[in-house]
Amino acid sequence: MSVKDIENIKKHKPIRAADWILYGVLALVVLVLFIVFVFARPNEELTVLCIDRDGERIVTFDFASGKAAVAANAVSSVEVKENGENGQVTITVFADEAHERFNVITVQTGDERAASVTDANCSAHRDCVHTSAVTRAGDIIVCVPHRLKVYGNEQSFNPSLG
Amino acid sequence: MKRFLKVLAPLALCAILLAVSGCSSKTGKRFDIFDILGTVTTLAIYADYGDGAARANVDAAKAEIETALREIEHALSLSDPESDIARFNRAEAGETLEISRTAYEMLTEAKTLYTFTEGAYNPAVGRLTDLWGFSPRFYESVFTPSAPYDRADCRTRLPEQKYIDAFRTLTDFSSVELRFDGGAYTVTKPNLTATVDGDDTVYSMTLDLGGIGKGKAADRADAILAAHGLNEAYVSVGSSSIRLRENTDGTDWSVQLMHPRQSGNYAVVKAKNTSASTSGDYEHAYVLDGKRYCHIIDTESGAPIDNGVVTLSLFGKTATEGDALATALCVMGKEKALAFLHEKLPDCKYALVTENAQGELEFYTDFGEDVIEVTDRTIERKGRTIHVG
Repeated sequence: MSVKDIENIKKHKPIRAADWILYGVLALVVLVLFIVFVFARPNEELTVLCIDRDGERIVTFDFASGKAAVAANAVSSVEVKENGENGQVTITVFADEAHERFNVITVQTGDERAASVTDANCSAHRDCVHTSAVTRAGDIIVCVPHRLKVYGNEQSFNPSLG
Repeated sequence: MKRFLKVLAPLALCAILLAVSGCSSKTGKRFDIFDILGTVTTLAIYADYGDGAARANVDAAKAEIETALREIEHALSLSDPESDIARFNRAEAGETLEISRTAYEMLTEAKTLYTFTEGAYNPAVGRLTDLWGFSPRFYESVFTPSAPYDRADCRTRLPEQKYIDAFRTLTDFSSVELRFDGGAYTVTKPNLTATVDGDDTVYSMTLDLGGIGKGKAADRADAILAAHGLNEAYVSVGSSSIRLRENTDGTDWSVQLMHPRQSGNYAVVKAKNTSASTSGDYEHAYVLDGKRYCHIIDTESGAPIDNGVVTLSLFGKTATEGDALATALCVMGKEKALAFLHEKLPDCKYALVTENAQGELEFYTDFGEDVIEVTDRTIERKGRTIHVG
C-alpha cells in the first residue's frame, strides 16, 4: 500500500455523521419493534380456554366460573377433575375409545391464569407437553398425533352450523 | 444517505404507531364467548368489557338468557321427569294435563309447523325415536335396557318390525288438543293406544319437541340481546340453530357449514341479522351392515330417513321455524324439499347436500357466489343461482 493510498483512506472517514443518524434510526426501529412485540403486546386476558378435537370444540373452560363445559358427544372421552385448594383443574382428553391414548391439560385458575399440556402419550417427542403454556388469548398448543388444539379465546370467532 | 432516511423515517413512524395502538388495545370493544347450560348454548358478544356499565349490561343479558333457557328446558326436556313434555309422555291416553305457558306456546307453534309441512315435521315421533335408539337415555354414560323393545346394544340390532308398525299408529300430532281456559293452559293426550304381540304394555303417543326447542331458545336469547342493545353478537344453540346479529362494526359473520362426512366445514356463508338452522343424517347416527341409520325419523315409514338427503341448512324465518323446517325438509327428500323451498319458502336461503347412489355428495344452493364459498371442491354443485343474496 502506497502512502497515497493511506492518505486517501484517512480522507474518507469510516463513519460519517450521516451514518450515525442512520444507525440511530435503525436502533430506534429495533427498540420500538422490541417494545411492540414484547412489552406492548396486547395482553388480552385469558377468559376462555378452548379444546378442539378434529376441528370441533369438545371442551370450553370458563376461567370466571372455573367450570369446564364438555360437548355432549365428547362426554365419554373427557375427564375433568378439580384439584382442591391450589386452584388447578385437570382435563384429560382420551383420543380412543379404550382410553389408552391421552392428553392431560392442567388449567391454573386464579390471578395467574394459564393452561398447559402436562402429560400425553401421543408420541416419543411429546411436542405438546413441551410447548409453552397458554397464558393469553391467541396462545395455542397443538397435538398433531391426537388432532387436539388447546387455545385461549380468540378475538374473532365465527359460528358454525352442524 | 438521504434515500435511506426517506425509507427509514416512515418505517420508524409505523413502528411507533404500532406500539401506540398495541398499548391502547387493552381497552375498548372486544369479543367474548360464554357457554350457557353446558355446551348447549354459545353466546358471543362484542362489548367494552373494561367498562363497568357495559360489562354489567352483558352480565344482565346473560343472566336473563339463562333464566329463559331454563324455562324452555323445564318445559321440553325429556330427561327432566317433571317437564311438561315428560309428564305428557307418561300420561294415559285421553288424559288432560295443565302445562306451562311456554310449553303451550311451543306446542301451538309445533302444530302450525306440522300443518305447514304436511306432517313432515312431526313432534309425535317420540316412540319411534326411542325405538331406534335416539332418545336422551341412550346418551347417558351407562345405558340400561328398560323398555320391552330395547336391545342390549341398539347399534348392533335393528328394532322389530312389529314395534315399528305399532308406533307408526301413534304419530297423528293433529289429534293433540290444546286449550287455554280460565287462566290455565292444558293439553289433552290423544285417545290412541297400540299393543304389540308378546308384549303386555299398552303404548300411547309420546312427544319430542327437540325439533324446535333449540330454535326457540335461540329466538328467546336473541330477543334479550336486542332488548339490551347488544347488536354485535350471535347466539348458537347446539350448533344447529343460530340467531345472528351483526359482526363487529356492522359486518357479516362467516357461518361455517360443517362437513357431514369429515372434519371441518364444506362451505362458509356470509350473513347477519338472520337466523340459521341445520339438520342432517350425521348428528346422531350409527352404521349397521353398511347402512346409515340417523336420528331423523320419517313417521310415514317409521324409520330413519333414507332418501339421499345428507344435510340441509336454512337461513331466514325465525330460528324456531327454521329448526323445524330444516328437519322437515330432510324428511321430504331432495325433489320435494327443493319444490317446497321454491314454492313455500321463497324468502329463505338454503344449502342442501345429498348423496347419490354412487356415494358422491352433491350440493344445491340458492346463495349467490358472493355470499357462499364452497370450501370442499369435491362436492359437485348442482343448484343454479336463483337469487344473488
